[in-house]
Amino acid sequence: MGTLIARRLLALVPLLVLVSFFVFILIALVPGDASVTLAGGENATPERIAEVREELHLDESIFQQYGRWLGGAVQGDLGDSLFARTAVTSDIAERLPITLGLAGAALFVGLLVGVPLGVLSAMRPAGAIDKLSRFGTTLGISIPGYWLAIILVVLFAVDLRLLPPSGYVPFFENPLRWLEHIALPAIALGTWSAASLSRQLRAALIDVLDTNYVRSAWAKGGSTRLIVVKHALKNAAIPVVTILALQTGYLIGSTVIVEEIFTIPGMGPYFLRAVVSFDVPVIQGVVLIFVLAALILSTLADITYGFLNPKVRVS
Amino acid sequence: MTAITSAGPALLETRQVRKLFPIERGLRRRVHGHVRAVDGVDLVVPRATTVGLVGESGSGKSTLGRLVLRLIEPTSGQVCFEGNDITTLHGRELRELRRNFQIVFQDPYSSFDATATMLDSLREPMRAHLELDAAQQTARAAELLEIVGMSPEYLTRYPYELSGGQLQRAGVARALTVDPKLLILDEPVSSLDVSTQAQVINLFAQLQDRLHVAMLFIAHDLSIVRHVSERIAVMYLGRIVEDGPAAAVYDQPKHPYTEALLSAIPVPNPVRQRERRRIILEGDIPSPANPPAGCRFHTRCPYVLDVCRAEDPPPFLTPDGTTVFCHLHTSGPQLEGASIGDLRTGDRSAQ
Amino acid sequence: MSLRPDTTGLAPVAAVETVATARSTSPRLRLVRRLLRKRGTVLAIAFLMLVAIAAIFGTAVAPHDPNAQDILNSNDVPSWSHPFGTDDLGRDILSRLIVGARISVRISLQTVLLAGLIALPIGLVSGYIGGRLDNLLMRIVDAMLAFPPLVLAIAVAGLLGKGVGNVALAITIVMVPGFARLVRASTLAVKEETFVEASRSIGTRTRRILSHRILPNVRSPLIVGMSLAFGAAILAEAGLSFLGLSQQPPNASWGNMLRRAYDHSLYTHPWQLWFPGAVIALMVLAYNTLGDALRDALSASQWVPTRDHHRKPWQAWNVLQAWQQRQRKTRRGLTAVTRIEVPAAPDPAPLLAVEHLSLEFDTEQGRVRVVDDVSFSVASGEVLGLVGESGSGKTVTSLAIMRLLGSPPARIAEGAVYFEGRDLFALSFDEMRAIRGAELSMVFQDPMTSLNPAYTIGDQLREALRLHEHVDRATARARAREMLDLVQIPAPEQRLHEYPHQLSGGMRQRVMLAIALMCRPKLLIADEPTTALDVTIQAQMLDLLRSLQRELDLSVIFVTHDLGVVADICDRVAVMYSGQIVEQGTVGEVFTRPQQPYTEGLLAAMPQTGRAGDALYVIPGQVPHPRAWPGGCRFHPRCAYVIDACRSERVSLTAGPNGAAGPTPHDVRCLRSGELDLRGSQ
Repeated sequence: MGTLIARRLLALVPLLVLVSFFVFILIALVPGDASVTLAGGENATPERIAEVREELHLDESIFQQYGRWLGGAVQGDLGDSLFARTAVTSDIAERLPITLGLAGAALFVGLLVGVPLGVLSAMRPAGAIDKLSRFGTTLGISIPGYWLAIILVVLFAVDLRLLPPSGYVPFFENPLRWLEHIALPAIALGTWSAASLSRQLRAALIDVLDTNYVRSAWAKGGSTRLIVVKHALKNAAIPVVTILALQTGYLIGSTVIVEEIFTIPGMGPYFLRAVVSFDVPVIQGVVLIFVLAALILSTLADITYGFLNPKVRVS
Repeated sequence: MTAITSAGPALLETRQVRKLFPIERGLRRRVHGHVRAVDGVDLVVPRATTVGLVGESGSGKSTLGRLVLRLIEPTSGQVCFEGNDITTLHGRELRELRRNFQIVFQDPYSSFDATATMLDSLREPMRAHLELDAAQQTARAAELLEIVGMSPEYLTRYPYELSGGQLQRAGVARALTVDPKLLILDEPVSSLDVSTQAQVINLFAQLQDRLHVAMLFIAHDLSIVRHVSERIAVMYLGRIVEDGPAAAVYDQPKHPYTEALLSAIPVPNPVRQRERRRIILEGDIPSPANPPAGCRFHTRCPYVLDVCRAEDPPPFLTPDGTTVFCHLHTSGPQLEGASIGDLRTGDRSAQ
Repeated sequence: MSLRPDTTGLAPVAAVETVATARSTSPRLRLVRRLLRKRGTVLAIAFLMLVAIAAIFGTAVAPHDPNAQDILNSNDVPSWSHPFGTDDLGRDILSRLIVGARISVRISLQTVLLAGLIALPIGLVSGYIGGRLDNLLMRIVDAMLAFPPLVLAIAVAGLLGKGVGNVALAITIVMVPGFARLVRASTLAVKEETFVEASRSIGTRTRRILSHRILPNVRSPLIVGMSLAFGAAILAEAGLSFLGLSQQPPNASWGNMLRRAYDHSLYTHPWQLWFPGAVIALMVLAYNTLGDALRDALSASQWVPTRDHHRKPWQAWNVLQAWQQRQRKTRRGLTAVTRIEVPAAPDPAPLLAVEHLSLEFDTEQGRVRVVDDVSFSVASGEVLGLVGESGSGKTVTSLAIMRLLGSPPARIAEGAVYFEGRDLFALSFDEMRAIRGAELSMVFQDPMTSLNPAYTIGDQLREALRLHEHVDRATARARAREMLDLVQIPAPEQRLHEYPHQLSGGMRQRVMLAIALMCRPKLLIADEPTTALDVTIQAQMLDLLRSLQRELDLSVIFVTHDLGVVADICDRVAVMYSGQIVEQGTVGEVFTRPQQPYTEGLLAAMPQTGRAGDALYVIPGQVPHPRAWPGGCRFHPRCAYVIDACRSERVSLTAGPNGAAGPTPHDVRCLRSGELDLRGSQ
């Protein structure tokens, strides 16, 4: 087990190098002369162009630029926003907790709905519950999250006036108000998560319920509950954990549009404004943080995988 | 090393062939030892002869079959075909050579591409080695199917439309397409039903009679092998323990393992089966990753001597042409080539 | 040696077998049929075709000019002239949706196809060649996969500049690594298949193996993966469009229409939000439904290699079982019973009596009877062998006794099983559960997969006890140890803490036996318990079973295809063929003086019998599929002693000539049993 964790962490090193390089060379996508574009296009003053070139070291080779950027990133310095002149690191530090809170709440919704739905569905494939849940989950992965978010706003905020249509209150300021503001976006995001989790879990459970060892458990005289909860769920969880981590990584990314709709001051609006205005340091910083979050999650999943699977744990 | 006849070099000869699969462990995946799948095997297949290769799981018999075909590369040792070392051949030379060797696999279903028709599969060796046009290829494929007792109508069928026995016969037809000199049969009947199994075994016997093709018949069941083989080699944990004429090995086994293997196969006659003296070997087959020192069989051998635990048994050539690797013939009771069965009756002079 | 094989003019070695069954429909046609069987799929296809028409003809089919503003008629509710109403600038919403369809369709097709095309060679080469190249490519792919797709797409599209083309490029870039992984994984799996090894050994060039062997088999998973990606592409484009990065106003796309409605009509005319969103959702739903259906149809198609083919024939019911698995029915642990009459229990009641048991499976091609009127009994302390080839019905019979066959598709059509006088088919789920594992136990064929890999041996042993007896942990633990001792497992204390994967096959089968015997059952059903084991390990196992049977005075039903094993361990034997018992009696009687030609043939075909060098006795032909059981005697097409009556008359199981006179019953299903002089084993 120790070896597993160590190996997984070690494998992260080259991955991090590659990933950070990919993040950095996003700048190469900028059309035309980067210094001109980033300075504001054709209307940019020569002084501003020179300033941008100086600040981003655009005269150096791309590898030198990367080295400089990575060196800063490792020390927690992701540069300054080209326009707001604020440090990207502190901007992110301010907004990341908000986004993570939303993603966590969405994941909670996903697990709360997805797991029971998947289990019930797998217990009687082609049964009434299964048919209903299959339709529901297919719908759930097909509906665009931002559309669902808008509809929720129309229904619960505009029509019923039960919940606020937008805005945000920090958790530590007022947990209840926080919940009010986070509920609709979390449901909007969590629906997709629940649907896709339920589908994965259903498939994995059906596979496991069809194995010889489950037949052995029936032959011992096991009850349905014992079979599903003890024998099937643990084995089915093994593949699902990996998928769940991957999905959660994506979920964090999906907060972007939903935050924009609900005007939640998280990473989303910050990122989108930067994209529209070619604020390269901000874009790089945000993407890097999202990727890191996804990588941490997948590493955790791999370790959990080893923990659940005795073949990996006991060797 | 024993069966080289006056007709020149044997069709196939392996010289101290070894295949070690590394075991990686730990953080840096350092090699922590090897699975000694095949560990120094000398085997001779003379021209137009069927040699049975028998062993249980972990014996390395299938690995040996794949080594001979160069489907995997030996770690050391040589594989010689008609006296020429083929372990160094590559690319075009190797492809050319392969028309001399063909293989029939254990699982008839997975040995055919499910997305290809029988005709497509039978054409594959023709495309690689024969210059025939499409019509000739189809005619040849039909002819081959008939040889193995199948209607040419099957040419348009997909594998899932055939039964296991039929597919296995089609597998033989595919192998015969390029007129090979050697057929490697890797457990060709072990996935078939009893009645189908007999059909395929008889097919092999008849093909050998008529086509004079040499065969290496790999199986775990000695009773199947003896129906088609002129010689039988018995493997245990990567090594050959006994290699001799089929009748001698089957009727007068010289190695305790061969004897136990024979006694373990139940006979479908309740009276005889219940009267037989059975040798139940103790314990599991050791892992080929960690084979015992000395004679590999010593951990389970009912006749084990002190010397067996320490020293590798040397080859011993018995008067009936069997090579046996067992200390019982040289040290201890000094059987000197007599059957192991004589050890029990105490009649050591019997030959 | 001649270049051509010297086989010309050579007579076939066996009588040429003609094609047994009519050519079935082509795999492609069946795939389409399977796809169209579900209503949802047909609806999805219809919707996609509608959208395709809109995308192809665009403005030509739109009722209005999509960009024509009409301030006087802004925010009109749906009406005859504007079925979906108008937006805040008075533009016709339906027309804008029709024009917007082109963007969505174009993006989804373009990105997915392009990404698939790029990923295919990467995955193929990486998977097949392997080594350093694979390592390098997969590192890059892994790094790209770490990016949350939406974030990456936004960043790339944003930096490249607004516009549909750049969005398409961004989505393609995001999709490539996933497809490459998929292709590589499929390639690796196919590469290990024996048929690829066969191609290599034939001497086929690598390039041809890749294009003719690997590619056709990698195609299906890629097609499924791509069809499921269409929806994702639409969602991504609409999302980017919503953010204003894709199609620029005034030109319509579904995403920017949604944005316009959100920005200008959220509080005043919220109904405008429904149409673009619903169209996006429906489009994605249609793609996903089609993708799911395609995946199900492909994995059900025998055209595609599945693991089903790898099961050994004696694992019985290849075809039916494969179908059953594809239908994804779980074993619910209680087989359905649909019998009309209940046969009476025999008197005096033996330990177990199977009376006129018939089993049926509901399959794609209709109902199939797989066990037909089977009756046998097991006395206390007796070992009964149930022998037959694959498809004989021996395994399903034993599973039916335990009521372990999944329903659907299995159902007990007729008959009864009396266990100590109780009709097992009349019991409720919980009543049956109380018997299973306690009085009636079962050991299965495959020890490698029959133990739960996630729990220790000790846990699984204790569980077997605690399901039926209220004992504390310590007692259960002691009993578990004791049982491991009983099945002669060395170092039992240590084994209790080990996981199944740490044990050899032989050891695992001993553990299975220990679990089955944990509650001291009266009857043990052993389904091919030694088939998966090595010969010398099988000998140990048989020895152990024999001594335990005597020690515990256990009754055993031993299901096997190996007549040698029956001769070794069984008292009586029932021979099954095509779902029926064709002969039963004591092993001595049946094996030495068989009365049924099939039994004779089976004995003679065993490689242990007959002399080396002599050809083995061959039963011609194949075991018929349950769907194609012949009329009259089921064995008649393969029988050497067939007469006309065998082809038409129904043959029943009757007391054989020496059975009636002899001390023990010997039943035979053969019209000529009195007159034939059959050979037994020597």
